[in-house]
Amino acid sequence: MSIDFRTVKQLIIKDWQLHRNMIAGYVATGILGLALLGYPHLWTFYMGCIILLTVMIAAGFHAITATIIAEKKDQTTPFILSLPVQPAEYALAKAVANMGIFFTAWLFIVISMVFLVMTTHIPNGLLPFFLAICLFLVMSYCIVLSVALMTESEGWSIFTMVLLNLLLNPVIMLAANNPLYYSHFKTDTIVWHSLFITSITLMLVAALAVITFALIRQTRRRTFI
Amino acid sequence: MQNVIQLTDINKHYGHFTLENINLTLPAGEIMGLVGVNGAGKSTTIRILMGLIEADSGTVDVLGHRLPDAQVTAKRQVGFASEDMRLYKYQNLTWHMDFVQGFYPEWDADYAQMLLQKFRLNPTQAIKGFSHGQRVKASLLLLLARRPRLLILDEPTTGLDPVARSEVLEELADILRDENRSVLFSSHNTHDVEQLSDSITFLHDGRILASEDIECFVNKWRSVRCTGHASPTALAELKPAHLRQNGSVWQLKIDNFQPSMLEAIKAQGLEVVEVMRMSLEEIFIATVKKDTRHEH
Repeated sequence: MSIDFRTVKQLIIKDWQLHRNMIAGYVATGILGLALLGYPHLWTFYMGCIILLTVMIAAGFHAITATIIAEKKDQTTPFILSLPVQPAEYALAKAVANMGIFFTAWLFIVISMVFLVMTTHIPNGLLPFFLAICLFLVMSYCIVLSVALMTESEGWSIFTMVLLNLLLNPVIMLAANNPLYYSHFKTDTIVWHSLFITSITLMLVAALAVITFALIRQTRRRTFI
Repeated sequence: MQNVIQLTDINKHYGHFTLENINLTLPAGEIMGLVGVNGAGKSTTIRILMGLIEADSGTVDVLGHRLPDAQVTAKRQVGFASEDMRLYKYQNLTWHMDFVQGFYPEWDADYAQMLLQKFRLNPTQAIKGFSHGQRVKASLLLLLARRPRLLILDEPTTGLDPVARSEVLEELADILRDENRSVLFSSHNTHDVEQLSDSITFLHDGRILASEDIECFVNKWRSVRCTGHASPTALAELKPAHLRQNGSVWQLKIDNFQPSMLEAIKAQGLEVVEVMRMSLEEIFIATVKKDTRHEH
């Protein structure tokens, strides 16, 4: 069964139309976080960091909940399945639409943050640390998305989501207490050290692997249920 | 005549339910009612027909396409609506029509407009503001305007209040009269099926109990009321689907009724008071009870 990319495109556009307000909301909240981050006070810096982290986490999980889990709970899936769509097209469209929603918010925040770090009082040496945390969020998102695509279960998705969120604090603490990261926190020197390269490579490989596995598994299905 | 649906030796096993050896054909242009109690296997059969689930064994052909492999080709010519199908509540009907139109080049916009008026639906109102009856009508509009060759409706009237149910059935009957479409229509409500269908298939506990033309089927059954004293064992030899004694009054519900059976009843010492045709609902209940008795 070959995939009809026109069908995939129609399903992606449908999800974008349904959730464009949500994307706009996250981008707007991201702008607020960036504004606070750029303000020269320690408390606004921390507030900005928390808002940006929250926006990136929420954008991903909200996208998964709205497009995959809610579609099943609201019983709109049978409507889509009644159309000339095959399981592979449906799974591919869900993955792409979801990643599109998440990465719109994520890329906006990350690009703006890099620009902000490079052009304001914020020490440039923080950039590898920031990027590592942002990439951890990408990996977490990809794992939850894969679980949601494969199980379509609210329970399993929330369980994975909570588990990965619990890991976020230890990851931040471990990175912040590692001299390779913290020794550059107050300098304007950006050092792409081996720990950063290794950790982001591992996270990207893990993200890619789980998404690839989920897509291969789902696109091989002959039936929806 | 070409069969638009051909299920051959279909089996599907779940933990507590088995769809067993289902053989079903729907000739082109015919309206078939699929009747069964809740849990009889109607929805499972329909999901197999739509390529949504795969049978453990057997073959499924819809409009000449083998499913589930050719499900996309088949679904281009099939209109499917089920009781558990919902539209996107924050979008209006115009959005839904635009969306569905993208999948069906043969979408009939004029017909859709005509149905909008006929169903008295506001295309700019969000679906969440629709009543259940209006949502069912909106779903019907979305599938009828595709001009499908085959309609598969899984309990479309379930959950509707009597007025909305009557409206939906009337509209559906009008539409089906106007069009030369094949329809498979599942319901646990025999009145709906009787009103719309040419033929009937009784499904119970994952098995087909009967499948034939509705007129012939109803014509084969009689309810016979008699009075007098007779041996229940002797009467049981007539193999009634249902035998009930209330004092000296006996009631027999008989499948494959032959006038000669009345002589056999009289021969047991009973006086035949009344021979009545049975409604589809009475036949359905008698058939299910008979099958359940045989199981035990």
